[in-house]
Amino acid sequence: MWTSLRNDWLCGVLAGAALFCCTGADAATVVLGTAVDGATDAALAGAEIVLTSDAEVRARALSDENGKFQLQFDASAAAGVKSFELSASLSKYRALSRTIEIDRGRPTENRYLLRLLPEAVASCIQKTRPAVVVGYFRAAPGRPDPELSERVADALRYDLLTQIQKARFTSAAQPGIFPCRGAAPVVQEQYGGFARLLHADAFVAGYVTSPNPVKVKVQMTIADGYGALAAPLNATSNDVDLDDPQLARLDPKAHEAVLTALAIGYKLTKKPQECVDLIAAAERMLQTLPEVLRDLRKECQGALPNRGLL
Amino acid sequence: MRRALFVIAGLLLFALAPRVFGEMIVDVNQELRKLRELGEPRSPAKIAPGIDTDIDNAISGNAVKLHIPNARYRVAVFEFDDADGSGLGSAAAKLIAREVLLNSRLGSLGVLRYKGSLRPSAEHPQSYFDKVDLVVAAQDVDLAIWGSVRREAGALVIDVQAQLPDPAVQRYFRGALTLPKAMGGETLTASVWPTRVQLQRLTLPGRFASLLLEQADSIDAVRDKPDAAAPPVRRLPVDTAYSVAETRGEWTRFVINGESGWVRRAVQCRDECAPLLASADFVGALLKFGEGGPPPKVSGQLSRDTAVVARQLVLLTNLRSKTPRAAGELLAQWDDREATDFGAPYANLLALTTLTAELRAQRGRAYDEIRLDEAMVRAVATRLAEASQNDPRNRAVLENLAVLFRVLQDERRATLASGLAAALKSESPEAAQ
Repeated sequence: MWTSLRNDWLCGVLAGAALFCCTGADAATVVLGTAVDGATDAALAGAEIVLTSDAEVRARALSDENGKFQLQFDASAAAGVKSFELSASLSKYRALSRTIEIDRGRPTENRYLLRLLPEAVASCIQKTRPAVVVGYFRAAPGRPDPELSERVADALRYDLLTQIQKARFTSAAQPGIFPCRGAAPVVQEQYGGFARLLHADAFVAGYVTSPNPVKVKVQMTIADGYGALAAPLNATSNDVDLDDPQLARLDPKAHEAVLTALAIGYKLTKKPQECVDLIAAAERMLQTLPEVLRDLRKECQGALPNRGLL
Repeated sequence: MRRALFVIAGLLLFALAPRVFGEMIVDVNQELRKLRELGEPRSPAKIAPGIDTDIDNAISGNAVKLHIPNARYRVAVFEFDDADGSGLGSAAAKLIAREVLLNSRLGSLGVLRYKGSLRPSAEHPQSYFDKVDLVVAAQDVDLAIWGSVRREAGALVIDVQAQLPDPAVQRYFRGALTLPKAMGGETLTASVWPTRVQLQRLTLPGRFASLLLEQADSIDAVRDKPDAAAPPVRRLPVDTAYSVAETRGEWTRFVINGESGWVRRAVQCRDECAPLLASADFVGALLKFGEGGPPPKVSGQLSRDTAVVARQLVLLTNLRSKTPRAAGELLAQWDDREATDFGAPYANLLALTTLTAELRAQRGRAYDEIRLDEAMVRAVATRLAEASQNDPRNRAVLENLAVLFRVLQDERRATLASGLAAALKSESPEAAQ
């Protein structure tokens, strides 16, 4: 903590000194920044940061244990605004590069934030919507189950798609359901961020715990990608046999949250017909609609062109 | 006399004609690969046998070989999704397929048993109903059955789904009413929906798993005589069509590649299979309805979808009747009366029932001169417009609304309804509704 504050202070002093001295003749230009995990915002140590200009490496550094880095180089103060490429790379992360500007020897930002995406997560970013991403499920202690997120996705696909396909959804309008075991939020607050990062309407992940040696508890958390749900929704299945395939099945509460997120997506993308049809599918699945879906149906019905027929 | 001769000749031909009952096992992914190589047909109707169509398809490479093509009715049964790899997916499909074949009491029926998963894959990203659609369109079958088997909390949960392809719906499950010329002379239509029907969600004790596997295995064992004590001499083949020659109680004689042998029916599994076979009974009754039979009865073991479909078939039968009953009279027999949660297609059939009965009540007048009371027609249109709010992409409902609003000379609403219907048609030209 103290070290970090001291580093911050030192960096600040250095940056200030650099900014001050660069107003005059040629002097060292200092670029400060932080490298973080793009999914969890955790600081990334050991990321290689390189600054280039016209394919020439001007400075190079490694991020420290707090993800902070400092690049120092000589920039011509007289040159006016000049563009540089600031790039970062780290094993198991997708390399990142962004353009920064140095104005008369001074960086235009005090500190550059470099958000590196883990390779395992970057490959899960969805290109088309609607999409549901099933993230990492931490297995019960001593019982590794690397396939669990795939099995959850399979189960969800059957439950959801068979109902949705009864309505008049074209293939393109149906939600895709994708496993992404690399997407592993650490705390509840990160779930919404994962949904947005992955361009997903809904993001599901969770863990399995063993309250006793025979039965386990499956905890699933679901967040929407629009920030419409006040907080991620939790669904718990107690007393599940670890060898029982039910481990991979979603609780009705989880279905409700996924369907709500998808309905919100259709509403926000101005597809009220799909929204109404999806909620009809939800009604078939859940038997009774929760208030949030009943309200959404009213809103979507209000936007239907069919309204003019009444 | 001449006419009588023709009738006798016809009866003779019917009696002598081979009664086709066949069963065949086909690899679903092989079929899809075939589709992919040959190109997906644009319209299911194009698959119907016809010399011009066949020549066109042969030139364009679109032809898919029809399995058991000479059967009047053809049903495809797909291996059930088996998430737990228990082997029960194949067993459930086999038991249902055989029961449909032997118990539907149709004159001519071919059952195609497809094997392979309906889950989306890299090669075939379509899934479940959408994947089945592709195959049934190419094979021009009248009905498809598929489902899933999975274990949940120590129990077996079996989902059985049926799918009615659009051409079959148009052939067997559609009603129409042409209005009198004084009301514009346009035609209103209504079809049964859902066409993707959950027949059953059955929960069986987990211990039934091994029994179901045994039963499914035993119905492929061929014996030289109809006697359980006789040793099995072979098994029914997986890639050849075989036909039913005769049935004696629980035993059926199949002809396989010119040789015959006896196979015991699944009726031997009573407690374990009986609930599952309710799906087969419903499917048999659906097919029989296409042949002019009564609407199917819905047992307590079947799902809500079957009740929705059966109710619509009662309305459809009434529409086709020479003496149709009024909607109110029909509704009085059901506790839930208008059952607004049965969806827009049900409301659509009720609308046609109401109008048909009202027109019938005017008999004695020249049909084309009848003009029904405007308030009554408006009430029908309003109920249909309300139903459209919960099922906004139902094309048949929108097309009927356009007709009814034209009758009422409500141009604004008529234009809106026909515009919405046209947009849906351009989005999905094959879908009937």
